[in-house]
Parts: sequence; C-alpha cells; structure tokens
Amino acid sequence: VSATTTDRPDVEAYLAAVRDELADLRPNERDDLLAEVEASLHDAAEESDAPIAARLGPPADFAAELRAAAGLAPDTAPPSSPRRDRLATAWRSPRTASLKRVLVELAPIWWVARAYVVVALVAWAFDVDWSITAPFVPTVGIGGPGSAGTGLLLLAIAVALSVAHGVRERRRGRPGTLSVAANVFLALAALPLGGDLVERASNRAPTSVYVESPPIPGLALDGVQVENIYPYSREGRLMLDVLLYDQNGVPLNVRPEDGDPSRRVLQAADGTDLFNAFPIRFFEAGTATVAKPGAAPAIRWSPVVTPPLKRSPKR
Amino acid sequence: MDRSQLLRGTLDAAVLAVVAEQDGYGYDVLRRLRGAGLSDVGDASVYGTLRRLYGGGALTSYVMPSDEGPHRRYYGITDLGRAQLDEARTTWGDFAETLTGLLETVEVTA
Repeated sequence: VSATTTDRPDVEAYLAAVRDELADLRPNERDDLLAEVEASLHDAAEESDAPIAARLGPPADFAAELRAAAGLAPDTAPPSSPRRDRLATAWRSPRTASLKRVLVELAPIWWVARAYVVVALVAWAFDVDWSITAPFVPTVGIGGPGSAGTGLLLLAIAVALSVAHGVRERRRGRPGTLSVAANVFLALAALPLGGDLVERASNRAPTSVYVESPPIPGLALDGVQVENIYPYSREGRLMLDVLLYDQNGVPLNVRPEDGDPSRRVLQAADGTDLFNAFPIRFFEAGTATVAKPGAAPAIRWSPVVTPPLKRSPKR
Repeated sequence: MDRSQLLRGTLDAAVLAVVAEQDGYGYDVLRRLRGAGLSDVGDASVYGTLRRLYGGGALTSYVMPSDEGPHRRYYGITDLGRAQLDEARTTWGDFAETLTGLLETVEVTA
C-alpha cells in the first residue's frame, strides 16, 4: 500500500467506505485493488476540487463496479458489517486459537468457580446467613449461626459435581446449548455476587459477638439485677426508709407493678405509694410488721476517713 | 444502444490498447481512454480492469517515483497481453464489420 498522504478528507472517507464495501474479499486481493484506487483517486483529486463522491457516485456503486471489472464475485453474502467481518477474521487467527487453547486449559478453574456461584445463589435465594468466621461461606441448617461446617461441605459437593460435569462435557466435545446458556447465566450472576463478596470481606464481621439482650427491668448494675439497696451512713449505720432519686429527680421505683401484698410500701401524705424507699422490707406473712428491720447482707466495713462534707451555710 | 453495455465487453481491449501504446498508471490510463472518446468510462471499471489484466498476466506493473506526491504504479503490456490485444482486434474487426453490414442493410430495407 502506498504511503499516500493527502489533505483531502473526503478522499480518505470515500476510500474507507469503499474498503468497507470490499470487506468480504481476501485481504491481499482487497489491498491490491485499493492501492490502485487510492493512488488514482488522489491523482484525480489533485485535478479537481469538486467533492469526490459527486464525481464518482456512491462508494457502494463504485465498489460494485470495481468488483465487476476486476472479475471478483459480487458480495452475495448477507450484508455483514465490516466490524463483524473483522471479528470473524480475528476469531480464526492463530493468536486467537492459542488463546482459546489456554482458556480450555484453564476451564477447570471456572468449574470450581461456578460451583461456588451456584451455592452462593441458593444461599442468596433462601436468604441464609453467612459464616461469621469465614465470610465467604454461607451457613446452612445445622451447625448454628456463624458456623462454616455445613456450608463448606455443601461447597465441596457442588465443586465435585461441577468438575464431573465439566469433564463429561469435555469428553463429549461440543457443549450443549443448555449447558452454554447455564454457564453464561452463572458467569453473569458471578458479577453482582463478586461485588457482594468484596463488600462482605471488607467489612468482615467482628470476631467477638455482642449479644443484644432485652433491657433488665427495674434497677441494675452492670447488667445484674439490683433487688434491694442497703444504704449506710458514713458512720457505718444502716439507714432505713431512704428515698432514692436519679439525676433527673425521678424516683428509683423498684417493682411498683408487682403488687406484692407482703411488701412494705411507704405512703406519702398525698396518698401516693413510694416504691423508691430502701431497703425494701417485707411483712411477716399475714401481718403488718417487719420482723427484722435492721437485717442486711454482710458487708465489709471499714471506717470512712475522708472528712465529711459541710453543707453550705445558705441551705 | 446502451454504450455502457458495449463498454463492458470491450474495455479489456481498450485498456490493453492504451497501455500497449505507452505504459501508464491508473489515472493516466483513465484519462487517455476518456481523451480517446470513451468519456463515459467509469473510474472503478478501469481500475478493476487493470488489476484483473495484471492478475491474469496480460499486464506487468512497476513502481516509479513521481516528482510530486507518492510513487506511482505503472502498468506495461506483456507478450500475453499483446496476444490478447491482437485477438481482440481480430474479433472486434469481424464483429464490427458484421454489425455494420447488418445495420446498414436493415436501414435500407426499412
């Protein structure tokens, strides 16, 4: 092909169009023809500034005339786009053939991958949990939440089946249409799945699990129920009927709702029951007396040495 | 009479005759054909014909540097081409003579 250069874009465009029209010819045949045309069109263009298409007609007609005069078969093939033609040529090229061989060698990797895709899809469809320790493994049925055992077993079975299927297909030569369709489907499904896995791996579950339990009713200290409160003065004397309030002035009412008749509930002048009086005391059965008002659990007592606070004179 | 139909059957001979007279490149051959009176010969027909005659061995080709612009591919006639041209001359001569005779006869009787 000559090293023609031109400042006539219309000539270049025309040549490109003619080349496309001749896409079905053998490459060397086409190049020979086009080399002749190219040089001549540039010669012609030098003599006239008129647009080349106006003088020569549509590129398709030009190509047909060229083809007929050169004694080459008219393009009877269904109008195939030059791009498709180029693709077909590339598909038959030796480089593509060696690539295809490599891909066939690597196919077992896909057999394993598609088995995983199938299991993951099923896990998705049934919305099962994924293992906490191994975020890529769905947990199935037994084994408890977060356990990878059954999921791994299922994966192993799926991989074995998939590889067996792949080997069988390979022996048979050509894969069935259904098989091809299934593989394409799985390959497409693998895309969103892959994204999900990457996300799953990046915010991998913490190794320790916090179990959210319902809040403990009443008073609690560090999650342990406080049944009763025994207030002592700094002198070490158990105080009775101490009313406790929180930082908002809300009485620390303990079990106001349980209606235990044996509980000694203090009463205010306005008639309200005081459930925040400590220690909570209980009457002897059937009476209104507390047997041992000073009873208290054993405490470790040591005299307080910090000087007592002084109330401000104002109050 | 459709000149393009006539041209289709005789373009080989015309191109061979032009090249036999003097070697030429594609556009040059086209110009000389037009100059000789075949004003309606198609560009693509001439280029296609040149390639076909070259492919068939009737023409030889060589590249010549040109003063302005790219190198030019020249075509020259071969012995085979000359033989084809001679044959074409004979065929055309006979054909033209026959047809001329026919047409004149018909015109007289009509």
